[in-house]
Amino acid sequence: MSCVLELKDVVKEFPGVKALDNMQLQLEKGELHAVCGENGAGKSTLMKVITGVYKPDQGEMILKGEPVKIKNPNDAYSKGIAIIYQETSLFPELTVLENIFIGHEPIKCIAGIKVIDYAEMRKKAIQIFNKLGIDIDLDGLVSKLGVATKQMIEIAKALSYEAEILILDEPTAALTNREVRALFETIARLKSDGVSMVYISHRLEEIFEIADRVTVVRDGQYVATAHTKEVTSNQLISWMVGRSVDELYPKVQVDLGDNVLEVKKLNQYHVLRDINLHLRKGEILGIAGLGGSGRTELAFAICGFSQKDTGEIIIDGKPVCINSYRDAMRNGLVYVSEDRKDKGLVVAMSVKENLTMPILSRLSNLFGIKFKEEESMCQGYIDSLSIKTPHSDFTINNLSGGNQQKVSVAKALAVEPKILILDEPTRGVDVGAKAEIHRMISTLASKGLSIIMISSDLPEILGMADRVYVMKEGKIAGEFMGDQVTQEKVLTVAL
Amino acid sequence: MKKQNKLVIMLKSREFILGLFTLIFFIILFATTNFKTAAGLQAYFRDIAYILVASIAMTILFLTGNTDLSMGTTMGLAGYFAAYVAKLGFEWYIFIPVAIITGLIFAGINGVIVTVFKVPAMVASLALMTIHMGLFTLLPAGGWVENMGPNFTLMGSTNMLTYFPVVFIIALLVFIISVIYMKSSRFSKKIYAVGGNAHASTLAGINPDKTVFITYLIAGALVGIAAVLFYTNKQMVQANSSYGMEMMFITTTVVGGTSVAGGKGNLWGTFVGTFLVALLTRAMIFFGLQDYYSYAFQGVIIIIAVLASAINFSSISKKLFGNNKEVVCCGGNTNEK
Repeated sequence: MSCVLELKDVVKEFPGVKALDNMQLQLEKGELHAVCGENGAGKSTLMKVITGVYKPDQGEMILKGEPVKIKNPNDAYSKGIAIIYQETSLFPELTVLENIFIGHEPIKCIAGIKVIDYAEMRKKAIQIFNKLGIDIDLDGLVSKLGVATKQMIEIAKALSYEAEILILDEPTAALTNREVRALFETIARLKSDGVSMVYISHRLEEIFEIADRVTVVRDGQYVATAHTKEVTSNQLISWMVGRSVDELYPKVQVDLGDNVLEVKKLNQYHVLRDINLHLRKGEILGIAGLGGSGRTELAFAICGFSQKDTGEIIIDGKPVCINSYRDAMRNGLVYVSEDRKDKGLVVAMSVKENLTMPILSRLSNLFGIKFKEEESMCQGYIDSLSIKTPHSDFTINNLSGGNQQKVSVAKALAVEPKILILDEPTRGVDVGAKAEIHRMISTLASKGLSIIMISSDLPEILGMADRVYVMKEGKIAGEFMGDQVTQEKVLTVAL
Repeated sequence: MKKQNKLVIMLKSREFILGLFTLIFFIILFATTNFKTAAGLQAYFRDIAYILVASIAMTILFLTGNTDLSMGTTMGLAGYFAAYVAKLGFEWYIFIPVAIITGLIFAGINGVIVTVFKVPAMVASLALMTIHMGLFTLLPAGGWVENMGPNFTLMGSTNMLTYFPVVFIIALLVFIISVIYMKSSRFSKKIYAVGGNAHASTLAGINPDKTVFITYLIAGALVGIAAVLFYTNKQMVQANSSYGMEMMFITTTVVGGTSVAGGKGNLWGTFVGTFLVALLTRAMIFFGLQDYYSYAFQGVIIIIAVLASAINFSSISKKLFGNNKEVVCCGGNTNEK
């Protein structure tokens, strides 16, 4: 078979990170080539290099035997490469038809004036829909459609460029089982038409079901390529993992106390199913699972950000009613968001203002805020969590990611909670800060705080947690004790 | 494939309900005051003419997620230059292009500041408005032109079929062309795309900055036309007399349902919004309300109209009669990485 697209030694650096290093990829005509790797392994960056969103720093791209440079997304389209992004790139207020042809509408001339040829557009769209075996109202607004339909429109949009190479970035992430079936049928049709496809996914079952070959990437580097018929899922997992756990995870062993938190039969329609969990005093409980498996949603339901359908929450042996985050805080539960810049902190305000925001009522009297107390309290947290800031009035914006994260933890601690829920505590911070944050988490636990740590970073979960729950499709799919858990075990349950 | 009845969709649309509201108000005014005289109706349609054209400009800028607060003062400058040229004896085929070019130049400056220097549109156009105010005082005769002669005022003072001023007919033509343009040009889709999701539009191969800049130019040309429609009726042109009008154009646009955040809205909404806002201005005069009451009254009517048209009837019936089967699904997908 002939190679339609080949990437050789592609390097892409972002300030401080080598997102891609010596990346290889060979796509043959008419094949479905899966690319898999852990979260943050560089899959999406790779695709953005292929489609011209990023320019590679080094390396070669060979399209049908000829070296090419792709300047921008438009250039990629004109060379027959189209991509379906993970997050939808449709325009909700335009119709289906307009979305499919946006930026390259067929035009005709009426009296020398170029106008959009709606009849031609409709004809082409129906042709594409027939090819895909789907039927969608062309004049409906996209904002009224569901995720699966939007995905189909994205595929139709890609085909409208007469793409020969189609890249699908986690296309099944938001689909139900039945919708996934429909998508796979469509993919099979395209394959029989000779379209070559790159399929990014970390769902192994899918890869074995539909892919011809698979390339594994890890930490931005190429690991291996294999035929799916000749490789086992265990082998793939070991390729995807292969990292060592070292002093990045300074976990101190703590004698665990009684149950602090119990959650019984928690249900949330379409999101969470039959969740039972418990958390002991001084314990670090890891929650692993893929993006979209319901980890954050679980934290939201426990903390009262979202309404639960059924379920009981018991704190210190007493059933409590949590209907809002205020209730949660009153019961000693706090949540630190994964998205510190958008949801965790007000980045334009100072360290002190952020830190004392939730407890201002405690720090103020009739005449206003008691500044001295505020300052001394703030200084206390800065010292105890070793937040590196010149002074407490420093703007959050100018702190490093790691220190911002510490401030959001300090802000949570200021409420003096019993239970701390950390959502992705080390996302987007560098290795040094990571180790420091882990040390902080460990110290807090040893002082008797119970911690739920949600993380996509498997080594972090393995290195830090006393016990691990693995979530999959809104359910708790597995529970492991900290000393027995391995990456392979977690991935086998999560995938 | 489920297709809703087109008539039902139309009857439920915001534009239709807003239009109905305007019509009822129109009838009340018509039946109870002197509004029904030829002069009354002419004045109404003459108001609509320039508001409509300028509001189209405001709408397309809103659709890209931008705005232009200097639209009123730009209109003043365009009108001033057109009148100045007309007074020198030039005919319509000279002074109209002069007004359009003035609009283009100032909108172009605005567009450059917004797209090249990345200054938020609100700030950039506010600064430009202030600059325009300064320019007014530097113009010969303090920005006044008198005695332009019939070559200028003929257009504004002529009526067709007794009730319809020529400027109104011109505005309708501009509107019809704009509607067709927004339906069938490639560029119009880019306007929606950039305002709806700038990131996604880049991925679709659209250059957002270029799109915004060209939209500013189109808007500028429209403001030039609006200036001609407004000032040709006047006996004298005073450049600063259109100061503050941008608020009216924003009102018509927003009342018409165009989103301030961009990407959502259409010209028909603005069309109906213009008829309503212009009607309210007239109503103040015919009801004989004092200025200070009139603004408050106008505001209240606008809020009522917008509320009436924004009500989602199906969601209300659901709330009233309950619909337990449908459980709102929250959460959604967390991004990986």
